[in-house]
Amino acid sequence: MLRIEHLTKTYPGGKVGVADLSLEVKPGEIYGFIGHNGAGKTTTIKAVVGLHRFEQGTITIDGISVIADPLKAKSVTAYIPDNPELYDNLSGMQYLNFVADVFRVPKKERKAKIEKYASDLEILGALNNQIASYSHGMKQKLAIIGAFLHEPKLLVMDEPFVGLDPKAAFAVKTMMREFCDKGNAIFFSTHVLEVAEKLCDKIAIIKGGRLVACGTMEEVKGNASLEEVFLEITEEAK
Amino acid sequence: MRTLGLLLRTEFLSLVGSYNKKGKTSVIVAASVLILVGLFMVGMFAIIGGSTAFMLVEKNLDEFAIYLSLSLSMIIALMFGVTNSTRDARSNDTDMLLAMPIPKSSIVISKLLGMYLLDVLCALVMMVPATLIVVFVGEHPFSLFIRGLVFSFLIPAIPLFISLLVSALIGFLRKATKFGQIASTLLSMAVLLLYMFVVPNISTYADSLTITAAESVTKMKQILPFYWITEAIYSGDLLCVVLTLLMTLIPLALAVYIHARGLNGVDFHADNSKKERSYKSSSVRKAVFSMEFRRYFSSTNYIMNTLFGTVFLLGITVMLAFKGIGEIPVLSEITVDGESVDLISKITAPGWAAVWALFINFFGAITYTTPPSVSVEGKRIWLSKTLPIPTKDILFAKVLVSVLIFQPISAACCIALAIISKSGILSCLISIVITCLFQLLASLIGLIFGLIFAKLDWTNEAQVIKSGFAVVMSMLVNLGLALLVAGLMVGGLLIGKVELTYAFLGGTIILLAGLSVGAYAIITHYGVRKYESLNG
Repeated sequence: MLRIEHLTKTYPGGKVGVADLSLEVKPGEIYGFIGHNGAGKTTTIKAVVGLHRFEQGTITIDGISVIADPLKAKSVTAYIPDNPELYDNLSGMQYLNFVADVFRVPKKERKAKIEKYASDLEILGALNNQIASYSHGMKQKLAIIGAFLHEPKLLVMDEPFVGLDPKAAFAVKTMMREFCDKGNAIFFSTHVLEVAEKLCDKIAIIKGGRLVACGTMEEVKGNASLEEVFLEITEEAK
Repeated sequence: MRTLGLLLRTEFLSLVGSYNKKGKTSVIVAASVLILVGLFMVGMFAIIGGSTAFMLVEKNLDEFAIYLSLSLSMIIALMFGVTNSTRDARSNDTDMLLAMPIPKSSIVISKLLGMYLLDVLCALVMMVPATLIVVFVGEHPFSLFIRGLVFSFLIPAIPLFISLLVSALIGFLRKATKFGQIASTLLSMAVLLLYMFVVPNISTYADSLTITAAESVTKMKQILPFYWITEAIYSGDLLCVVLTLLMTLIPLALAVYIHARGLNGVDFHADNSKKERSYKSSSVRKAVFSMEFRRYFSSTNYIMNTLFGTVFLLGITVMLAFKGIGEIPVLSEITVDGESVDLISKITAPGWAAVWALFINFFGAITYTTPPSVSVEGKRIWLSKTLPIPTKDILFAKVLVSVLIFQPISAACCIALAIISKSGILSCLISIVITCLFQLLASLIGLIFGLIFAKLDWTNEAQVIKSGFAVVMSMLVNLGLALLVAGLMVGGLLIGKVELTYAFLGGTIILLAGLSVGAYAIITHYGVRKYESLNG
C-alpha cells in the first residue's frame, strides 16, 4: 500500500532529515513509526503526504507515485497531523462538509459516516460550534473524522493520540483496527510505546534520519518489551 | 488599589509593546513615539474642532458650536468604541487575570479605564478648543469653559455604553447565529463611513451654514439628549445639568455592569447541539471557493484591513451621488489665465468612461484581497496541500474571491457614476470593462506578490496585512499600473476627438487583457510551484 524506497531529505543548511530510508506498509497493516524527537518521523510522514519535497528516493501509495501523480495519490490518502490546525472560523460541520466535498462523498453517505464517527468520538453535539471554540482534543477528533470520512486506502497519522481522552483514544484504536481489517493500511508515528506494542502489526524505529530496525513486532522485539528494545537499539545506534 | 496600579501599568506596557514587537527600542522611546502619534491625532482633531467652532461663533451661533463639537466627539469616540467592540469582548488575558488574587473590581476598572480615557481624550480635544473659542471670541463667562471641561469627562459614558452594548450584541449574534460576523463587519464599515463623511466635512458644513441662532435651537432640538448636554454646558440650566448627569452616569454604571458580566464568563451561551446539521454537498471547485470565501469573511479585522479601498470607493460614490459631480475639486476648480474653466461640460461620453475608470482603478489598486491571501493560510496550509485539490484551483479561488467582492461594487459604482454624469450606456459599459480587467490584473499581481513574500508564521491575521511585504509591493505595482493606464486614457482625453478617445480606451482594454493573460501564465507556472514548496 505504501512503499518508500531510498528516501533522502535534506533541509536547507545541510541538515539531514531522512537518509536512505526504505520501508513498505502492506494492505491490512497498522505500521508504527517510532523514534526520538527530531529522529525524522514527521519529515518522513510529511514527504509521504506531499508536504515536503525530497531530493532522492521514491514514494508510492497504492502504486501511485506521490511525485508523478500527487493528486491521485492524495485522493487515496488521509493525513492527521500532530497538531491539527484547522480553519478556526468554520464550524466543525462546515469543515467536514468541505472535506467530504473535496473527496466527493455523497450526501447520504457523509451523513451516516459523520453521525457514526462523531457519536463514537462524542463530538456530535459540538459539530455546529466554531472550531475556534474547540479544545486540542476536539480538534484532533474532528481531524480524525475528516480523515475516515472518505475511506482512504492509506491513513497517515502523526502522534494521533496526543490530547485524546482515554475513551476517545480507545474509540480511535477500534476505528483503526476496523479500518485495516477492510484491507486498508495505517502508517503512524507515536511516542507511546505501549500503544505501538498493542496496536501495531509492524514497526520501524528511526534514529538520526536512518532506519535502525523494522519488521513485525515479534521480529523487532522478540521476547523483550518494546521499551527495552527501543532504548537498546537507539543507544547502540549512537 | 495596588493591583489596579499594577494592571494599569501592564496595560500601558502591553500597548507600548504592541508598537515595539521586535523589542529593539527601549520602552521610553516606544512610549514617546506612541505619544507623538497620539498628539498628532489629537492636534488634527483639535484643529477641526477649533476651526469649526470659530466659523460658527463668527456667525453668532455660539451654542451650535458647542453642540457640533459635542456631536463630533461622540462620533469619534463611537468609531473607536465600535471598532474595538467588533473584536472579542473577552480579551486573551482575562482568564489569567481572573485566576490571580486580583479583585474583580480592579480588573473591570483597569479594562474600562483604558477605553474610557480614550473617549475622554476624544471629548477633550473637541470640547476644549470649542468652549475656549466660545468664551473668548463669543465673549461668554469663563464658567462655560469649566462646565465644558467637567462634562467632557462625563460625555464619553454614552459612546462607551453604546460600544459595550454593541459588543454584547455581536457576541450574542456570533454565538447564536451565523450572521454575527457579517453584522460586525457591516457595523464597522457603517461607523467608518459615518466618521469619514462627518469629520472631514464638518468645517465645510459650518462654513456653508446660513441660519439664525433661533433656527439653530430648532435644529439642535432634533436630537434632544445632545441639546440638553449643550444647554447644560452653554447656560448651566439646572434641569439640563440634572438630565445630563442622569444621561451619563446611568450609562456609566450600566457600562461597568455589562463589562463585569462579560468578565464573569456569563456570556450568551448558545446550545448548537440541537441545531440541524447541514450535509449539503457541492463540487470540489465550489467547495474550495466556498471555503476561501468563508475564511475571508470570518474576521472583521481582516476584512477591514483589506477592503478599505472598496469602502472608500463606495463612500465617495455615495457622496458624489448626493452632492453631484460639480463638487469634484479636480474638475470644478481648474483655472486658466485666472479664469475658471468649466471642464465638466467639456468632457465627452468616452471621456467620462476614462475619468470613472481612473477613479475606480485607484481604489482597486488599494484593495488588498489577494496579497495576504497566501500568508493567511498560516499553519493550516497542510490542509489544502494534503487534500487532492489542484493547486491551480486553490490559487484561483483566491483571485475569484477578490474579483467577486470588488467587481459588483465597482460595477454598481460605474453605473451610478454614469447616471450622475449622464454619460450614456456605452460609456458606462466601457468603464465597467476597464475596471473589471484592471481589478482582475491587480488581483493576479497581488497573488504573485503574495506567493513571493508568503509569511506563514504569524500570530494575528492583521499582522499579515500590516507587516506584509506582499501588500506593500502589490500596492506600489498596482498604483503604478493605475498611473500607466491613467496616462494612456488622459492621452486620449487630451486629444479631444471622440473617436480617438474610444481608440485609446480600446487600447487600454487590450493592454489590460494582455497583462492579465501574462499574470495568469506566471501564476499557473511559477505560482503553482511556489505554493507547493511552502511549508507552514
